Amino acid sequence: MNKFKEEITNTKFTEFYSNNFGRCVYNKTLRIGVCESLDQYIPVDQFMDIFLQCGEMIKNYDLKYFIFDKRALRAFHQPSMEWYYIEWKQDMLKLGLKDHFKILPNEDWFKKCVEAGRAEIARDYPESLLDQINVTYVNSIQEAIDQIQS
Amino acid sequence: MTTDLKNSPVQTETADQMRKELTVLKERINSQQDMLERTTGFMSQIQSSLEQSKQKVEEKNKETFDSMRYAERLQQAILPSCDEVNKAFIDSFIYLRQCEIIGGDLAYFIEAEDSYFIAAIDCTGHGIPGAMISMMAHSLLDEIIMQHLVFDPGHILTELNRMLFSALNGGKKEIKDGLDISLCRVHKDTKKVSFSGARRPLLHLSIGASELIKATRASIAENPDSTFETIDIEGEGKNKFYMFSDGIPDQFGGPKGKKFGTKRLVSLISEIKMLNMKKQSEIITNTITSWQANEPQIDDNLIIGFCI
Repeated sequence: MNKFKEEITNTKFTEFYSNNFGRCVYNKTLRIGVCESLDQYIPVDQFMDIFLQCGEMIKNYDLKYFIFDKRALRAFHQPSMEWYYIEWKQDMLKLGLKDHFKILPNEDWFKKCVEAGRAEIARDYPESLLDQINVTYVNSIQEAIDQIQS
Repeated sequence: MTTDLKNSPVQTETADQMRKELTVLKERINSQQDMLERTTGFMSQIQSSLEQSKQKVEEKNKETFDSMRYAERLQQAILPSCDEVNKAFIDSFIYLRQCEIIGGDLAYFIEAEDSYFIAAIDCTGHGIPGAMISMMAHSLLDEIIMQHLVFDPGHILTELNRMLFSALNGGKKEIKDGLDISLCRVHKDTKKVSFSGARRPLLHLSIGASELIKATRASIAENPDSTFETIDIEGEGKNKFYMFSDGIPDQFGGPKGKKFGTKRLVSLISEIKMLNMKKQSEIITNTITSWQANEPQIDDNLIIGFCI
């Protein structure tokens, strides 16, 4: 059982949707939604598919916290990320979801790439509402849950 | 009979699957290349920004350094010259080693009517704030002695205390800084020495005797109502006097990393008292340097010695 499976089993998450590249699960009591990447790379169409489903899940269960587990990723598509930040996250903000948690792979180079990508988005979209969204980097789903419950 | 596998549904499906996987792989490689280029650009921007900041810090540092060097010249301009002090006494030395370029320890000397006034000023703190307080004290001492014609050392310090307290606390903000001082008045004709101190003592050495004369236990600008006692000292023959800031006694060093201490300083001076003042200054300098060794200098160092 991988770390993600172990964590979502322990915390009793229910699967909402999955495709070959990712899956989304939720816990209605804790009002937490989780999206896990299942492959090293998610093509743009699949990425949008998963996140549109995550959006449905958040709306249906009125989720207040969202965890994006990117531990499997080794590459990301910058236009997908722009869409995720500028459209998806802001649509979610309208639904009342402003607390996001991220789990990155342990590689420093990947973390630096994420930082560079975020800096570019912040520079290119200064009018976005990104400053209204709380992003916390954690090392595990359990750590995010602990922070939410503290 | 042979089967044509080339266009079989299984073969077509496998080929489609492989094409999809290849497309994803190609997209992934392109994305990684894009990530690499973006991150390299991002790191270059950070590096360039750091270099600009470093340059600004270096420029600011140079400005501050130049400014402190200029302030050092100003501070040195008000220090008594060795010639001036040597003319007043049989022999003398002033050893001043600031912790930074400028500092809060300052030697003071002035001739007024029938007397010489000599003082070791030790301001709280060091560096620029110390230097500013010591310059204020220097200017106020001039005013008290030369304009108000106050010559009694205790009265001078009492007046200095009142004026400096008022100057530092007259504004909106209360300032806790002040200074400690040893002040001597030497009567030109009688050679009588009158001393007053604010937390700093006077070491008096005469033939066969050594006395550390205690100061009033109050700093200047600590309490506006403090008054300072005058002690008259009379001695036969040659008398040597030493005033020092707390920088040397408080200096850490030695084999156990302890403070040099007042006792050790008094003992050192007593051992070398028969030497001329220049030689004494050299020995004190070497002893302190050797004691300090690799420890940092924690405060300004000042010793004044004079012989009458």
